[in-house]
Amino acid sequence: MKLHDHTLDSTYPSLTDVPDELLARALNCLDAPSLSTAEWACRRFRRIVLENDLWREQCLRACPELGRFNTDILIEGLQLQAAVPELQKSRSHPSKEALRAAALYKLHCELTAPEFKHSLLANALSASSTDNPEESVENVLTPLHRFNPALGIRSGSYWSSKGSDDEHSSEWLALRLAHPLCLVSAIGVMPFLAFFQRGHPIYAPKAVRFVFSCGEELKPRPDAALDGDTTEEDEQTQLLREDCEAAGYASLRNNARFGAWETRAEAFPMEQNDSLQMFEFKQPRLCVGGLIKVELLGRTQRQEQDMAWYTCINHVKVLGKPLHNFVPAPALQQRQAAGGAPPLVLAAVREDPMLARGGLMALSEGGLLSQRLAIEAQGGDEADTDEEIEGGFNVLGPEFPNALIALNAIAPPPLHPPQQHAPPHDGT
Amino acid sequence: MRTVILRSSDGADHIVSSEAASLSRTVQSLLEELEAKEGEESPLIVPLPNVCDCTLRKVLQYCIQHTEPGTNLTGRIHVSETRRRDLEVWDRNYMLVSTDELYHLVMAAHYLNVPGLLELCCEGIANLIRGKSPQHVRQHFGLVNNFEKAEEEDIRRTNLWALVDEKELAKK
Repeated sequence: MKLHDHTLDSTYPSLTDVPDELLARALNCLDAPSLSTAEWACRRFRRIVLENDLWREQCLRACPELGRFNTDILIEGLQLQAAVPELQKSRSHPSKEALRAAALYKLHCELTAPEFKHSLLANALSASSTDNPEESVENVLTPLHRFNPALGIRSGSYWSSKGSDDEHSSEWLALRLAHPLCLVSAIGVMPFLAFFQRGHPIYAPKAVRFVFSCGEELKPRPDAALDGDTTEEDEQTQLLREDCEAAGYASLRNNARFGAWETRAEAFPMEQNDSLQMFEFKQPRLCVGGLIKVELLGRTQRQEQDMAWYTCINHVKVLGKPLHNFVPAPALQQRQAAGGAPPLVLAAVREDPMLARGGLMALSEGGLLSQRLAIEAQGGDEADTDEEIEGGFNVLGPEFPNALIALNAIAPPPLHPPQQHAPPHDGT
Repeated sequence: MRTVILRSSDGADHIVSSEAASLSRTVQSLLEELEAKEGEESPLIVPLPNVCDCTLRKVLQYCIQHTEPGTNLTGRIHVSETRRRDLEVWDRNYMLVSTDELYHLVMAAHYLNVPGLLELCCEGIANLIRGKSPQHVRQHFGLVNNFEKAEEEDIRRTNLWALVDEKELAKK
């Protein structure tokens, strides 16, 4: 096969006389793979790509959502050389612009990567109210029902609000994703069907609304039944929380700094059935910090015994993709804007915070997914798994499931989560 | 409808409707100046010293086609669906030009400031680059690889960095 048609050469040279401005417009018509080869053709093409920030245009085209935050996508290029192992070998000194272009190309690859099939949810941080500790918000991470061996019955794995006299009152759940920078395309909410109650009532809300990169203060409603301050944390949970905050995740204590990029989806009406009701967004939503507030508006079901209105949720599933190797830059490097939303500064990091914690499988559903798979792989032989418990969980042990939940509720699992151990919601 | 005369660099005159001529913002502003100076009645002759006769003819083909009844002047917003599709096909056939012609056309569209045509030409240039290897692009544009070795190596490395993870993730 003939690779090059030399007869064509003589007909093309005049196109090189096109001024930079027009060539930039032409190059901007290209798709990402073609642009990446075109800029490799010669210095002039490369310079035009860098000067006109064409990789930023590519990113904005791949994700118009990024343009919403008055964004300039700013990428801390200087740190990038340290972040990219390949670039450390470089003998020349790549310019700031070249580093920025490299980071934006990488970001574009992440933005156009295929979506994950599994839920991106890692932690349930808090809820507006919780009826009793067994009905913790942690339960919405997993779609499973749980088996209670002490009673020998199946009991629901769900979160329940406290009862209310007001049909129109609302509840919220604070949930955190497995990566501090995610594009969310759809969220599924499954109301709970109380199969143990007469008539199998379904405690669905009337509507649901989602707040991404939520910056407001999220505190559960004060509870007269609990004494003392429940928000206090011990030393270990504090360390875990600080570790997560350093990696770019939002926690309930520092989420205010992500409020500048807060976006709300419109309210979706919900049906009173116990299927997983999926709500898709026309444009994927960027979640900075990973904190999502799920607002459950209104109630549809009273409980027969006390005639109070309740909301109960069986499962919440978040679909989308994490932007690997990118995190919101630390607060110090975020720039102050005179008016409007400050531009979003992304930092390219060498070690992806999600992969460093064992990847999505180890984090999603609060780490339960990987544990379940590990147990399934071993044929459910739990005698073996007990011996191999290591790391942070081992201190608490599986016999203190509530302590474990409290730990999870504040921070994602430690950097090196145990590979296998019994699901913590078993055996109480 | 008023007509205007556009005079190319080699002195050839083209008579077109003012509507078609006004697709070029450069001509439009020149016309407004002329009208203000010489009054509504006098014949309007616009000299275009930067555009040769054969390119001007090609540009005017575009302007006339895009100002036919049923086409909106300001854009294609109110155009019917079939008319829009017809225009797209026409545009595609219109762009079947040699690269030499394309060069003159893009320069003319830039000088005359015809936004739609300029967009079309840029897309045309992009089509010459799309899907080609760097060597192939160089050959077609008559470029020389003037990167330093280290520089080229950096581009290769960063491109690898951007792509590697994606491939690894696709495997999972």
